[in-house]
Amino acid sequence: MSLDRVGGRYSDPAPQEEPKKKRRQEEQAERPKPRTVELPKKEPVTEEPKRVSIDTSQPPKRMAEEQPEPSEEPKRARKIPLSKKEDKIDEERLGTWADTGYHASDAEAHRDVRYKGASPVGRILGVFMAQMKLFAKGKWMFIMMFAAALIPVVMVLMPSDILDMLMSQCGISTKYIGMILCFMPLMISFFTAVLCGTQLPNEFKDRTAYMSIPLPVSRTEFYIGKYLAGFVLCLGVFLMAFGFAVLMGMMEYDEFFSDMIARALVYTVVAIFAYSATAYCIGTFMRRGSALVPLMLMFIILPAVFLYLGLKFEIDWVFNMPCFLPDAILASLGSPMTLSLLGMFSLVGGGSYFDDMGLMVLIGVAWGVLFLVIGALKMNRREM
Amino acid sequence: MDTTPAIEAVGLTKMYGSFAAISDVNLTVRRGEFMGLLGPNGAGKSTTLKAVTGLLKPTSGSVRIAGIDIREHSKAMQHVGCVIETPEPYPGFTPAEIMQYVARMYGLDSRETAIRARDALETVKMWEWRDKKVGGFSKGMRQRVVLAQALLPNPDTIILDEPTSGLDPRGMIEIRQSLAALKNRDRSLLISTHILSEVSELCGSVAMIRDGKVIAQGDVSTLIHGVGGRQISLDIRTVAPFTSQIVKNIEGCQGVSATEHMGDCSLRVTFTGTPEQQAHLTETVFRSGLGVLAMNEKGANLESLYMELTEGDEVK
Repeated sequence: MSLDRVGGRYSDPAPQEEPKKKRRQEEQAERPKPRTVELPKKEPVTEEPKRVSIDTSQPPKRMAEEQPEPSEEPKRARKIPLSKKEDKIDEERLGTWADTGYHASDAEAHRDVRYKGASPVGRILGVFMAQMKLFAKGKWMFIMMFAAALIPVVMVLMPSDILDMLMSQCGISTKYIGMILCFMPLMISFFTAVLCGTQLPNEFKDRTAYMSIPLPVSRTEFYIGKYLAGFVLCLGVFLMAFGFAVLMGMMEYDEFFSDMIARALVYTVVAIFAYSATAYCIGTFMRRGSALVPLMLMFIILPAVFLYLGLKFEIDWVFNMPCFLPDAILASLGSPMTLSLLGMFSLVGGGSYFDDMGLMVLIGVAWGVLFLVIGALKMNRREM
Repeated sequence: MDTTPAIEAVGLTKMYGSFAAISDVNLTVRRGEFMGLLGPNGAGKSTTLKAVTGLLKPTSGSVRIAGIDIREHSKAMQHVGCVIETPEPYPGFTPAEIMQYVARMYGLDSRETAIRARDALETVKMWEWRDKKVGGFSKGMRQRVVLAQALLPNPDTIILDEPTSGLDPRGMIEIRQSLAALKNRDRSLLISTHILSEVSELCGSVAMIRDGKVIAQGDVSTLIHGVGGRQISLDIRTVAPFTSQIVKNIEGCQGVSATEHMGDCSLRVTFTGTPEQQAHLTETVFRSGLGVLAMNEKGANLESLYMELTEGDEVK
């Protein structure tokens, strides 16, 4: 292969070009030789070249070639933010320089984007999701689920003679379910107080509220989002317990009274709502999270007060107050026993106190709404 | 060009019973301005910032952020990032989860969240800790995470209450550099800090609070020269020692308020005159024949301004 350069590229010369080549060489030989100039000698470099240290602990900076290739065509035309953001911002989100031919990282492109903000529902949902995640990372959710899961375990492991005795006492399936759920009044009071009653006080005690409240979310939205998470968790666990109890009943009995179970379910939902709203509202007034106050209030104090009024002055309608809702759940199932103040007086079997379901549900819902409103007002006025 | 101030507080007053935490505070931060809020402990800086960000309701007065009343909290805070009263991130969350939570409040979608979260966490040097629970972090690391959530939504206005507290010196420098870089992006900053060098480095204007009242507000240089007066120190070093006659000649120059011997051949002259008078003084010194080795000028600075304005405060 010849080293002649033809058109800037080295290539094999064509055979007819050889005479031309000879002529060129002759011409070159005749030309005067160029003068050589001696350059001053340089001192050899003695110092070591500088070392460049590469910090491998930091992630490498994003280069232009790291831009993700778009998998689909962009849905709308993209404008290039060439300079500082202008006052009139296009409603479309600017922020990526993909497909524009400009080489920059997405991070740089996004530094001048103004975000529109979430809707109120979106913000409530954001707070709700964050709180559910916090529950999932905490211990109480698992304790509640464990307590609910104990129901089938205990019933399965119970000795058969004890089980037979209980079944003979109950007679019908719903009574059996009610007997399994006899701990409901205590459990509802306890878990709603622990979960819902300590949410907001803990936010202020741990100073996490100082990060959340300055965000573009109103205090009411923050309040509602947090409450919804507590309510949904409590409702989910107790419905799970209810489901386990029904399942146990189905294993032993063939006949079910769906109207009684449906009634009990309605009472359960309203009870969770009223109890959780009360505990949550009380939490807004407290500096430090304490489950004791709502627990004592709903499990002992209010039932004692209304029981006294009801028995002393023969006022039957006081038994429609929300503090008796767990007892109403068991009464509607025909449960022979209940772990509550009312149960201590063996009054649960007298289901006549809970005949007016509509009134009890109405009072329970109104009670819950009232306490939520009071709590929201307190939250909005709270000094931080 | 939009001239709406980034932050405008008018007549802010907060009473706790009969005690006025802040009284008739007027504060204006223009767009693109970096303002420092200075004051001794208990002066009302945090109360002012809490009132500005809606954490507490002032007894009277109004606050507008980019023209939006703070009472419309979610709308006003949409383009604001803030760190007030040493907040704590949720200990059970990781920095990535906190970024997701905050991003959802500002309406970012998942892709934007991923991009902005990375940028914000890298800015505060917490990217490599993004999947570790915050509960295990040191105070400085938690502080960085909180700062990252303030920078996440590209806020137009940033309000910081002692952002570098709890950070090591390197961390302080890095955060200051990150904040300084925002100057080129037309951001506004209101920062409350005890560190005067932080204000000098970052801020072009300053507001000084004392006993709940704003006692001075304006450009740093204007305040220093306007309030403190044009007071400078001239440190003169000569070959030959100063004689009493020469010192008398110097003291006789107009604008010289005091002289102080720092050594036989060193004299400190406190000068408060005009530039022309300073030129005359310089000429007098050189004509003294002592052989001037050096003549260093030290101007009034933020520290002297702060000390002068807060003079008389007891240590609380």
